[in-house]
Amino acid sequence: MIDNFIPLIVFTPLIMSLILYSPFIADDEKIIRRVSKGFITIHFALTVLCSIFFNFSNPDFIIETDYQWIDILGINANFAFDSLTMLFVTLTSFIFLISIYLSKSMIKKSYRLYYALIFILLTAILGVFSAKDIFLFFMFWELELIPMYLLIQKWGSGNKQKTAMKFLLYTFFGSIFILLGFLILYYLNFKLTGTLSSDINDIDIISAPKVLRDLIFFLLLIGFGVKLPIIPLHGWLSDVHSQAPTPVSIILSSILLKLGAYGILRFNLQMFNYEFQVFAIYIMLFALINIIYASFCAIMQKDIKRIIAFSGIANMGIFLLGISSLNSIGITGGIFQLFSHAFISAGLFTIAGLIYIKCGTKNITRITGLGEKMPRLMFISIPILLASIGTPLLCGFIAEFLSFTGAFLMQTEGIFDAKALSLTALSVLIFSSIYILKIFHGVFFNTIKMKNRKISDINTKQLTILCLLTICIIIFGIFPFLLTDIIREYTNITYNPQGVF
Amino acid sequence: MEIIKDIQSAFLPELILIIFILINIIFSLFIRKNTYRIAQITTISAITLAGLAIFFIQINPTYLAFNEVYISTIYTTSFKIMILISGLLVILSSNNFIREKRHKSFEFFTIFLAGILSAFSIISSNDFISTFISIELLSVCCYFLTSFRRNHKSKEAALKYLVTGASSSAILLLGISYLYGITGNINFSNISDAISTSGINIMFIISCILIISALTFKLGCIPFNNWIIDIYEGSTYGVGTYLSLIPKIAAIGLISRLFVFIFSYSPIIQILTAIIALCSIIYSAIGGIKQTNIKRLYAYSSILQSGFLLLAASCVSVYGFSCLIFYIFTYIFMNIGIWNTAIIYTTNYQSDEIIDYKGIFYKNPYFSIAYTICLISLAGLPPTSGFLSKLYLFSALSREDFTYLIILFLTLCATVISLFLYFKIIKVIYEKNSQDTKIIKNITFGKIILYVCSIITILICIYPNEFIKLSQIIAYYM
Repeated sequence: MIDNFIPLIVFTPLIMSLILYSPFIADDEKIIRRVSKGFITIHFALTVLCSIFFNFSNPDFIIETDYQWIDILGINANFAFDSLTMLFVTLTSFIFLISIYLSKSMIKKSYRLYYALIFILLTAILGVFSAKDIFLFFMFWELELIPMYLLIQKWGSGNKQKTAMKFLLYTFFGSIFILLGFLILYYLNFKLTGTLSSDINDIDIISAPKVLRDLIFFLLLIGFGVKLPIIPLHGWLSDVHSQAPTPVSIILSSILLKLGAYGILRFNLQMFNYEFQVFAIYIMLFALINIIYASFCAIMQKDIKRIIAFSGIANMGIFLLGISSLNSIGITGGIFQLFSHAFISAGLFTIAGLIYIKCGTKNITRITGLGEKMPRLMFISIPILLASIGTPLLCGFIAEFLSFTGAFLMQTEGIFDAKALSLTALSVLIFSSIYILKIFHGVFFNTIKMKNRKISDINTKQLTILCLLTICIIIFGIFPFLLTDIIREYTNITYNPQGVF
Repeated sequence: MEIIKDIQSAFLPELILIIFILINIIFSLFIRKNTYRIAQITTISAITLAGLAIFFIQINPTYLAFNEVYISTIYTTSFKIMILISGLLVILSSNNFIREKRHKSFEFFTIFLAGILSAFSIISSNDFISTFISIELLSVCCYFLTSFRRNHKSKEAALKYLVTGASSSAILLLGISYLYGITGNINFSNISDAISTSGINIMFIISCILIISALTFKLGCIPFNNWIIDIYEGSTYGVGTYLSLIPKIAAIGLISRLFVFIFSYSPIIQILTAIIALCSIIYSAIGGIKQTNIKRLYAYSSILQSGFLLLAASCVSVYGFSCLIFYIFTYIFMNIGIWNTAIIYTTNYQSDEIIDYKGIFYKNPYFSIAYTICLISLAGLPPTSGFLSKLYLFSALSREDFTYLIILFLTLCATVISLFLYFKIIKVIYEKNSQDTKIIKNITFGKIILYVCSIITILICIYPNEFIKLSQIIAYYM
């Protein structure tokens, strides 16, 4: 029975987007908004129901459904939820819930197309998380480009046309590396085992030549690194985040960056575990560059959304640092970081978006003294901003603590010492408090500059959304074992960690 | 009695086409009213009957008719079916366009049918003389069709096409005569036998290069592409659709058969063809970026797609040929989709510029979504058949040797650039245009074709198994 949840969760958004465009639903703003909200609520309820039925205590537990697709080439539409996927799916549905509830005040035109595209995007993302077949994975990976492109180019701000094209070309450029890697993987598997199959569990290339395995590893790392992003490949991110409409920015930073992370976890860490161990210290070096470079960039920015975007890159650096430590604690911390960053960045972008619609600008030098006009927003943004800095008792702290501990405990030989790297990264983290407090101080304190603009406080609905995120941040900060236990069990059996804690 | 058996087993569809061409000519002498309607009915019935007749010809085992000049295999038959499908769709989609432009209907349709007939005989011919004659016949049909629009540009295009086409035919003839000089044969299988006993020499390679040059000219690949853009721009949309499908399918069918019989003896030709294909993909992906005219953009798109077709043909393997068949089959529908949109739009607004498509989404959502699906499919993004056919093609390329891996990587890079070409239109469609909102009306029939094409494009992506299985069987029995 529980297997039937997969098509129900993955494909209903796609059907919903068709229903939104069918002649049965009148082109009326109120109806479309209500239908979309109702649907996403039901969808979230479904995922929660599925995760209640899901047996998290057993890390081997898996629910799956198989469909025939291109049987003759061994490519099949197989979907599976394991513990990690289940967590990601629930997270995705939750973030979409928030972003759709926020859309009312942020999206003013062509709402029908907007909601249809959002639902296609939801299917694409859930498909990536649940696909068990490499080409199916790739199909959903590509499917997410089209709605994303249109969402940015229609509802974005600033130079949106150029940004949308930049996003499209950058991401597609990344995905050709993934495709090339997958094709070599698929063909190599055929040569070695004699069966045409692209199922992740069937692929067995242990006996392949080392150079080919390394080649595939790096192709996939580059491909997922564009999405994550790893520093030299990050060119698209700041523009896209700052110019996308706020609900889409939330989805981008909370979910889409996690797709890259998921790809690295699923393929680079799980399938190419040996290669990952060999190159772990270099990946850690890149993680360090991510943290340092992105922190400095964030300090220099004036656009509030850009600051948050760069802090996202730094946070993904922490994830990379955590998983490249290759012990149970570090990997758990790295994966926990994905969830914690999803809540925090959703909160931060919501705050930035609300400030943008109230003040009409994203430039923090022009927004000052909002504290007296918007006390509710100021009050609710305190825990979110503090969590982003990494204050204890909030979920950001747990993620950073576990990642850095893991990195510090890593045993290394050679010129790069993991302890030195992790300590450097840790000391750079001080910058995160600089740019976050710069936002807080600049925006809410000082005297107000925009005297002639009527600025009202956020309404109850928006406050509720922010409260929801804050509750998540606090709960996972105080009771991290809710997530870390599941992740640790999963890590211990899947990623073959060196030190088991 | 031999000739009757030959006709029955290999030549029946062609015979039906010939009969209907004659019927069309005879009708044109007597009928003055409703010429368009009658000519259309005869043409559609000719295509339908030829399609039915295809199922009666002998495909297994291979049948050689007329002293081994004419061959009938499952491979040629599948190409013929694809030509008939595209011919039918071209006629149906150019419905209003031809009528409103007041073409001389009978002549148009007669030449149209003659083109299909010659495409059939290009694919089926097993001998260089009949190949050459059929190519000439197809070229002459294309020259006439190009000049059907009554303006200066059309005439210029036709003349340009005639001159360049004639020189390419001369090159083809030169290559054939060299090959005849080496082997003393004109029959494909005999040449193949002669080469396998004597081995290859420099003359053989030169003649192969000459033949490949002439045939890639017909496909419109680099460096023989200079005609294609002006000619697409000069001709009507209906003819543009025709030119982007029928000569292309015929030429690629012939190239793939020549690869099996003759070119496969020399790996240089294989690599050369792959490089030509790669160059056309890169050239058209970059060249299309600056275009503002929709016909010129489509011309670049057609060069791009012929590059992919040639790439599939150049990896001479069962996998490659099955991929070629699947690619052509999916290409027909997406190509008809985009050209049909242009036909519908131009009938309403008489404009060839991309910028005039601005904001058509807001008043015609379904129409624009169908158009977007076809464009996305050509760009190779899911959930469309174009994605699968590209994926299949790339998986075929990854099976070849190391050279092909580099070609594959460069092709993938060019695919990224080609996204720009197609998203150029998509960007414009969804842009808000506050001044005038354009409603596209009056053309229900064309719209139905567009919707059918886009739905088929998506359905092939969801249920591709049977198509790929069929294409593999066809390629296996080639």
